[in-house]
Amino acid sequence: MKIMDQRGFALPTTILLVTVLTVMLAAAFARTSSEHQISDGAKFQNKALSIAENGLQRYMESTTSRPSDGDSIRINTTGGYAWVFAHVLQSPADTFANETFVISSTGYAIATNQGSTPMAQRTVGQMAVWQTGFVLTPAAYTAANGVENDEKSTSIFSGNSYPTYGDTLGLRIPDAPDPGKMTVTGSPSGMVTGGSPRSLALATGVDWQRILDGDFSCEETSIFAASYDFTFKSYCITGDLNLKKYYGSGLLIVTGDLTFKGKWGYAYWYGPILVGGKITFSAPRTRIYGMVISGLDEQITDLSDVPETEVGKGGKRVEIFYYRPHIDTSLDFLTGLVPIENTWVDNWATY
Amino acid sequence: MRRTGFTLIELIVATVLMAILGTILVQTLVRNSKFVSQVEASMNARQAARAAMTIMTAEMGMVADSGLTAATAKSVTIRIPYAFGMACSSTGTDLYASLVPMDSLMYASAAASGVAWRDSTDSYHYLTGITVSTTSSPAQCSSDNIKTIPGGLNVKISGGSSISSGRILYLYENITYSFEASTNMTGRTGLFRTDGAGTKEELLVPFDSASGFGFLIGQNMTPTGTVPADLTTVRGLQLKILGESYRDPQGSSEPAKFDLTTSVAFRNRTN
Repeated sequence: MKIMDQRGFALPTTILLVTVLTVMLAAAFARTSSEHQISDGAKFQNKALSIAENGLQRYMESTTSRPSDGDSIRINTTGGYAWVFAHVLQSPADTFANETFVISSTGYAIATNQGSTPMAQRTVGQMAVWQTGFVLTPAAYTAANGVENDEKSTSIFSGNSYPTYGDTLGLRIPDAPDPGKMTVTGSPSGMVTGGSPRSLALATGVDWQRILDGDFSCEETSIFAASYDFTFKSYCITGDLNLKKYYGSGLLIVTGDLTFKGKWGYAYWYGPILVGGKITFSAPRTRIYGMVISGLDEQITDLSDVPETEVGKGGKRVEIFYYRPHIDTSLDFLTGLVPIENTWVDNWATY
Repeated sequence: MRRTGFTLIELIVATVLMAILGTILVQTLVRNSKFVSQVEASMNARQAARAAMTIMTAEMGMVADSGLTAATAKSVTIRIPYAFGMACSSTGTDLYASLVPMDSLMYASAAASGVAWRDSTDSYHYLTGITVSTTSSPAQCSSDNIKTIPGGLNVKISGGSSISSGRILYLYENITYSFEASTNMTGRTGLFRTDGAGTKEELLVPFDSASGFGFLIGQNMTPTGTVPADLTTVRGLQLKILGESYRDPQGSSEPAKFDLTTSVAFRNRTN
């Protein structure tokens, strides 16, 4: 019987060595791999948060019509997508008041090489108001600083909107003006007097302090001396403003005094005008289709006692017609979802 | 039958080869063991740091004005919002409110320290001495045209009747985070969380003793390690989280460390 040659043990030793090394390398790879997974988990969590925030912001900016309660949309972004929901939190009985919404956004982070299954998700929320750009319109011309009337020219203040968008007063002032030539029409009345300048300035609903603080942003901060601009932009002018033989449109805010100038012809404005101080009508004829509020400084104690606006002085003719369509067009840029400051929610339920 | 045996030379050569291979194997094993130990230690340190960061950033991001009420370099006490909503009507001293959906675990484990309500200038005011209970009736809210969001809650806040209907509010809990001597691992530093009811819990361990808090001051969020005299100027915190491994990795006389210093802005601060 031949016994097999049993010399040499290099092969079993090599096999043993290779096996041990393989096991140890595999263990090291497994640990390194788990470390990568932990690192990836944190990365995808951050990504999901970023996607959620991005989705929320894009929804706010792109929503141009009032969302319905429960409105939802999927917004795709690089590396994932966000589901955004809008829920009404408060819908005031006053239909002109702003609705309060709660907007939530859940961000889903996706790894491009691992299919469509989200690697992480995160939900954030933000309260917001649906702002319509509506402003209270006490009258075609509301002069919180009062009006001094001269009898040399017939001024017109009409609160009858055309065609018919709801009428308002023609003239609202704290005290009765001097007797003189003046045609005032409107509904339910042409002219209403009474109340303190401050109460009248506050009744306009304009937050003048915030405008003075620069918290309200317009498209333009300056305006040309003469123009034929009918683009209905918004203008925030700090200090006094002179408009000479002007044809303009939009929302005009002047923190100081406003003067319409020109030796001949009309000065026209289409849209609402808000003035902190008084208005001087020095153009032969000034015609405004929209609405005018002057003396808003009366809201602020330190700035009150604004001189009265003179109308009809020196034969200068003033015509202010309440015209709702121009007001609405001018305030269109204010329409949209506006975040309520300091209402960021980062622990929204995710289910 | 003749069997051929190993010669002496063969045995010597084989023994030498075995010795060389054995040495190489042992060295490989030792190196690998050290590597594994270091990786494990590094993972421990990272896990501790990341877990601490996740917990604190989620809670601190919602902090509003005057949210930081006490601070040292190693400890901060913060009014942490845990449920936002809107005030409805009140009856007697009770205020009813509609809360938006919130993390249910966070809500269930919270002990209300007070309620903050937002005024027309965007600032929050704090009201303490309240108790919160869930109510199933949304009538007090629906009468004010305030709705209950799907997944939200209607609650009764006893002692909150001074808050007007329609005001945005949030329930908050005074939470203290502190880095101090661990009770679970002697000689190490742990992260502790003390809730509104005064219950102190060691959340995570271990951390380097240099772990602590910095403060972000002013509009530019300038970081400083000095506690400001006026805490209302703080607009966020810098979390200096230095995670450590449980054990010293092989070949090292100290634990592995992972520096995860990060900043958290108080997002509900005015301005």
